[in-house]
Amino acid sequence: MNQTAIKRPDARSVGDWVRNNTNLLLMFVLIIVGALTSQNFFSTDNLFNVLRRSTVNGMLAVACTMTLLVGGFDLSIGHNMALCAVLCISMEKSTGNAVIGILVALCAGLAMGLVNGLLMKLTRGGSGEGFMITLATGMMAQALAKWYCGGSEIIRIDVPRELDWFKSIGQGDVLGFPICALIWICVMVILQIVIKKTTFGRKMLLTGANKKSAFLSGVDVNSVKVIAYVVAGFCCGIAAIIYAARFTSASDGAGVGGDFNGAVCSIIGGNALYGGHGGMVQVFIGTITFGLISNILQLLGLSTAVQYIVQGLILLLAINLDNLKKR
Amino acid sequence: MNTTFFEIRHVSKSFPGVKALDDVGFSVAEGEIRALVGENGAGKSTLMKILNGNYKKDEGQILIDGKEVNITDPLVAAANGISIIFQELNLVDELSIAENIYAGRLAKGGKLVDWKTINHQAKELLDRIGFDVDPRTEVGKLTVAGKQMVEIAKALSRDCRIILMDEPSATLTKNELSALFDIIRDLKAKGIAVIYISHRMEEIFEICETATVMRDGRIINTVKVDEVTSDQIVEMMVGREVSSAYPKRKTQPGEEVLRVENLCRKDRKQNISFTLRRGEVLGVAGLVGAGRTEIMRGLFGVDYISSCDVYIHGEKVRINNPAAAKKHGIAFLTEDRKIEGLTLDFTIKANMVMANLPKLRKGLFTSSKVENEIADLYIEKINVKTPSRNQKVGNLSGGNQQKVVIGKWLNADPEILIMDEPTRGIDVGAKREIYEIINELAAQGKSVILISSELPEVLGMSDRVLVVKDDAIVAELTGEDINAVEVMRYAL
Repeated sequence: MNQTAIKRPDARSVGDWVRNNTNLLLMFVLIIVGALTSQNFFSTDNLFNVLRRSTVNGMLAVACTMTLLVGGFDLSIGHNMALCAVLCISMEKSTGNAVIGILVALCAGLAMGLVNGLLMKLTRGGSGEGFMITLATGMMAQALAKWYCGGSEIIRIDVPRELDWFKSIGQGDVLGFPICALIWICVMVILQIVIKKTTFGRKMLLTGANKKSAFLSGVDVNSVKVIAYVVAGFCCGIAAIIYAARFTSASDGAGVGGDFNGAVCSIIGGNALYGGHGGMVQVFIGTITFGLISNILQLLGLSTAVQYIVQGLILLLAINLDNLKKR
Repeated sequence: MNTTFFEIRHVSKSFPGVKALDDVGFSVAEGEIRALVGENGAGKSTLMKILNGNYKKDEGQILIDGKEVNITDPLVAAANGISIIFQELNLVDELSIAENIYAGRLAKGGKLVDWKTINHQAKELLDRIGFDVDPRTEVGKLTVAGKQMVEIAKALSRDCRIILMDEPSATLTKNELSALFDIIRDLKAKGIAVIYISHRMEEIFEICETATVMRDGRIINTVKVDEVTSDQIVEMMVGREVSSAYPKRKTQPGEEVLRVENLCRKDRKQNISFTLRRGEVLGVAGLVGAGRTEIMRGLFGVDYISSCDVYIHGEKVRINNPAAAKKHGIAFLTEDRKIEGLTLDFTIKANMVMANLPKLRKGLFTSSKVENEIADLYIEKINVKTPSRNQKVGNLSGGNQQKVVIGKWLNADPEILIMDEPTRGIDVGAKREIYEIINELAAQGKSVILISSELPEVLGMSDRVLVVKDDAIVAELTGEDINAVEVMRYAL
């Protein structure tokens, strides 16, 4: 076997770089398109607006990515968020304490994640099982939310003035920078470090890339999956708090489409559909790309129907890019 | 008979950074049984894929009956009478034998499929090769040997004139192999040429008339098998002289490190007991399917076992998953390295460290410096041929992949290594290196359990041999008793 028979990975051409960074390039293309279509595009107001609007989707994308990385899938994230948001607002209202609302939301998210994770462990499931399991738990979460709020929206009114700080989680800013985006970025930084720089992160990637070889090397793949789902659930809780603070209302329908948005952001950014590759950098790129698309279409004054079509096309493009890279 | 009908001339094929085939040419006569040999990476698979139309050749011609044919896809190959039986057989497990044979060409009576005719024709084909089975049987229920028969029947159904077989013996038992040889002789009598690809010299000398040797994408020589010795062929393959296939060990086994008592798998009544000593190589022989792998999987905690007493250094331990086995110093190099042993689309370094992740930890975080050091250490120590530790394992040859698996487990610092078919499908040079690694491990006081279907390997490497038959250990051979006759006496 001669040395030349192996393709050298160090010898990278421009073509290779473009191939490996298609998702990043897509984001830059959109930024340029945005700049060309509207004068307002590059205003700080507009950019912060994009960021602020992206954070709920972004947190859901973080949740989705955690499950994708271990070779699973989570369709319950949207309804999980809705349940957490409903609980958050009503607990805050009834106790007059926003901290309790926040804690309840986080715990509910965590519990949902745990249920998903344990069901995954029970079925020894992959992304296919994950799809069905979380479809089912998501339906139940929405039903619980509906039952809890009696089918109508829970609106955050009649709360004492002292609790106004809660709203700033979704609406406020520090030195002009949206607080919710800060929270989102902090969560991503922490998780990125966990994924890339800890043995647990390594176990996640090994589990996602090849469950069998990971198990036979002594990795407890099922526990890794459970933890990944729990973290995903917790992220849904955070998404719910941002949602509740931003809109100051929540209903059982709050999470409709949230699961898909999360998955779309994750995949557009370049996370692998079948696990083992990716991380939070991809989530950031994907979420911003997704946010920019909506923003540009809005600035152009196009209808939501057109926006959905364009989003769908971009998702198809992203999935094809994912497959093209493997060739 | 014996007229040349198939010829390839000056065929070349390049992939980015490598010339896989370089001016390859040879011809085959009707009814000829030709061996095609070469180390892994010599270009055999590329050549096959070109003949099957999976790859497009860069230059050269393929001629049948003197006329050039342009093979653009597998259907064209089949239409020109070329059939290829790949190692990963191309059958659909869920369909019947007849459906597999006539896939895509099902006979029709009117609008509907005419099953009667199809099953009848399939039965005739199967009879022709002496495979007595109902053509309506689901292919998934057949053994690997049976599936190979179905592939051969499929080739015959297309009136093929030349069959290429890629290491058909890798997964066959001795009896199945001799049945296969009978069929090959039968094909020869019908004027069908066979190109037989194998790493095993004894098979080539038994069945083939001529041998074409490839090395580094070139044809080195085509020889008549009865005019050369197997050492000469191996020399041509590796381009250097090889000394005796199994290096000798100087060390003697020491005290007992592992004792397994009453290992009992689900639904099985046999109680399996054996011991392993320090610095010992314990061979496990037996036919494919006798239950050798299953015993070791049970011991390693992969499969469920209903009861088992394991003592390590005389202390009773409980092993119910691979993590526990690893903690007690056991490593398991699985038979299937691509799926169970490695994560193919990860780099060499990521694979090397995966069995011992805590070693990477510095404080809270993993250290890429430590990771690089570990990878470099084992790349050098066991001679993995790669330009970089960042190479994807999937891009390595079989022998080098196996070395990465070995490196991965050495990094976990085990006392006991269970190696299941460590040399399957890898070339002569790499095999020898793996034998030397085994000997070095034994010299360091580690113990090795060696499962192998290649009898000479078990005989040549082991201090002691266990023979497994029907999920039980039927014999334990030592010293002079370690010979082929004794092993086969118990195994059959």
